[in-house]
Amino acid sequence: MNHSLRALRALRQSARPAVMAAACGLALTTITAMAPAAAQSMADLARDASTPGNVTTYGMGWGQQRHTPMTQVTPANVKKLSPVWNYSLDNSANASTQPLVIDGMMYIASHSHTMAIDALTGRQKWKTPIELPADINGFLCCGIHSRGLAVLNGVLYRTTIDAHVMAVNMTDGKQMWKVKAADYKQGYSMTHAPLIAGQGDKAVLITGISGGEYGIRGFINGWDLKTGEKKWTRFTTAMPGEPGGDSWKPGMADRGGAPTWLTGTYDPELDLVYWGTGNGAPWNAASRGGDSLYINSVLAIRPGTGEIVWHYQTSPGDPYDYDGTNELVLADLPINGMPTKVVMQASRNGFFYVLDRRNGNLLKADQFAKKVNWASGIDLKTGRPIDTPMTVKVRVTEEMKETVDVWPSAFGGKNWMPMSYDPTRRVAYFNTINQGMTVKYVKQERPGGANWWLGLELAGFPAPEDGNRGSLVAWDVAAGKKLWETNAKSPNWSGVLSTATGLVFTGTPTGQFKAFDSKTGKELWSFQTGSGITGLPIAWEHKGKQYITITSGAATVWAALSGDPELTNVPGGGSVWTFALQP
Amino acid sequence: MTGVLLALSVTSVLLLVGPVVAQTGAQAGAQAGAQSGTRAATTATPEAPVPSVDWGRKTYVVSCTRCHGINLVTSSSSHFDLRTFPAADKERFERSVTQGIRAMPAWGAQLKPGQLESLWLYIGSVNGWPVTTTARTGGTSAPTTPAQ
Repeated sequence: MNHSLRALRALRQSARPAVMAAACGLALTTITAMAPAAAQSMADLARDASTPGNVTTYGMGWGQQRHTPMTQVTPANVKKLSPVWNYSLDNSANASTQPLVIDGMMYIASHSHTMAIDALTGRQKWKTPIELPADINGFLCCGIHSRGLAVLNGVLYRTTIDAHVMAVNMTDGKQMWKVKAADYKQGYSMTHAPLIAGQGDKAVLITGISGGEYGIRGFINGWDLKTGEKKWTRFTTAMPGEPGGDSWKPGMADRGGAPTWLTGTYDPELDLVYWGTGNGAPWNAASRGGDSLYINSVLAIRPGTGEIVWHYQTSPGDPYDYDGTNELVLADLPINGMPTKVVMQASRNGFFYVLDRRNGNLLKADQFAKKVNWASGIDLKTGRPIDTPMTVKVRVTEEMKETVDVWPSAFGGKNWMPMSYDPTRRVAYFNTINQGMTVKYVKQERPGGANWWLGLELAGFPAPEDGNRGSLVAWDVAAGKKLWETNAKSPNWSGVLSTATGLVFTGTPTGQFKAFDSKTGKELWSFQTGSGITGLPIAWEHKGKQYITITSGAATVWAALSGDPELTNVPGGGSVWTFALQP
Repeated sequence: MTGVLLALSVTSVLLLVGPVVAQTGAQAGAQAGAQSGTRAATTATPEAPVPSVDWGRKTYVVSCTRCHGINLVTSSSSHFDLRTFPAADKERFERSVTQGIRAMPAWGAQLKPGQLESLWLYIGSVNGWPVTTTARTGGTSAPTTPAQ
């Protein structure tokens, strides 16, 4: 995303008083201890995508394009990419975290610790543990994840899997504040990186919530950056009497899901945050009735207040767990000859959406998943899916006698692993999944505790005939077409990074970190790490040299549940790998 | 491999999730009474539900499948493969489930009387263990060497 110079200047000016206010607000005695290691300002965050040195935001920019302007590593020399260091995360969870890099220091969140590492040597500077209850993992639907951090003015912000939000001093790792967002024993958890957004001194820390399989009521929170005070709560299910309240059966909205479990994006010019919502609870659509607003939606939110400015529901009344939480990437695209500010999503439901991000108008929706049998397309006039007969029946049948085979499965045509977007070529690169699911809908009361509430029997996950359960895709966003597709037996459960020099990096569930030619999809380089890769590659630069970092470590719900036979000999064990060109 | 999975799945479809049975006899009685007055008189007396394969299966589906796979079939070496659990080491099973081990959470506070035994019965039924092994009641096993 390219911001105009005017907007950037305005941000810089507005950020300065914010820093002053922050400093003045601290007690005199604590100023020395809390002095920021580096002065990341809102302007630094706004510049993150265009500056290859530091990585100060989840997504390598507020627009989450995960594209680097770096020039040193190219298709011609990528074979010389070699490991510089490896750092143990000392656990066997999913290493699905995106590090931040600021002035030669790397900051990492795992579910159990927050860490600072010398980015050039891989030596630990500090490591702060997080106390967790012994039963917490039962409340995590899909494995143990902590996906990253936000940073501003010398303070790191993160969530914890037992649904707390905390601020950590970047200099020494000491906790500054910690607040409870929700009660984990009610099924709430948090696995995502927070977002910092807003204008000048009105900037807030924004977090979502997980727990769609446990019958939670989703929400998004705005927090005071300095104190952790809750500034606003935006619930994501509509109660009776509210707009959309009639899209639920009576009594279902207050446990209706719509979790907000991945980090949103931010457009500072429009001052809008884009945040996705997940599945309805239970999955059984007939139990909930209607569209169930705002499940499986894109919400445009005013960061100062939490107000919903517009919404677009990708999967109205969804019965298939097609969360709308996948990353909402911002870009400027020519649409019908007009430069247009868009937000895009490769949805779990198998369609690639392009929306006008000023107003939520649907511009494009094209099938990217190889096999889709729940809808025959998306009606661009109404914005609604065109249901197949199977979906028409599923929507109204609370109790089924026979199973149905649904494509894509609940894992989606693409899951949470974020894409990259090359703004010059206007191409998105993402990892897809090609697998069905066999289900039978049954009525189920909410069990409570650490138990799933789906309202269906999950009987299996049929594989595609060609045995390729996944692929890496290059997608021409304006045209709505695949440029190339590189098949894989197992779907890559890793984020994607693209470079201005024409490389695409991603990781495989069997542990290879790979580079592909962005024009052809041809594999150019591969390195075997110690576990499966569920991490998010980043590129950064220090003292004139460019580096690429990825975390390795997999214990995915895909491997546990999908029946994928390729993953039986992949050990767990998280670690961080950093690579650079060797002479 | 896929064929095996599907074959297992088809046979198990009718046996899978229903309303979870994680409730006390008193709660079940009250609920049944509310739904149908005819049953209230027979279920009003609180008593621990009898452990059963079916209760174990229903518990497994809502609480265990997500890590240990459908019908114990998991292809992840990061999650324990219950098809390999030793039938003779019930004490280890009970300890792992109630106290947690590695990524396995501690389920002790969540379990109702009879539910742990039901899970053991269910795992035994899928694995084809001799009934004499699986029918032992909890709490009397001889101490065994910790397996992990």
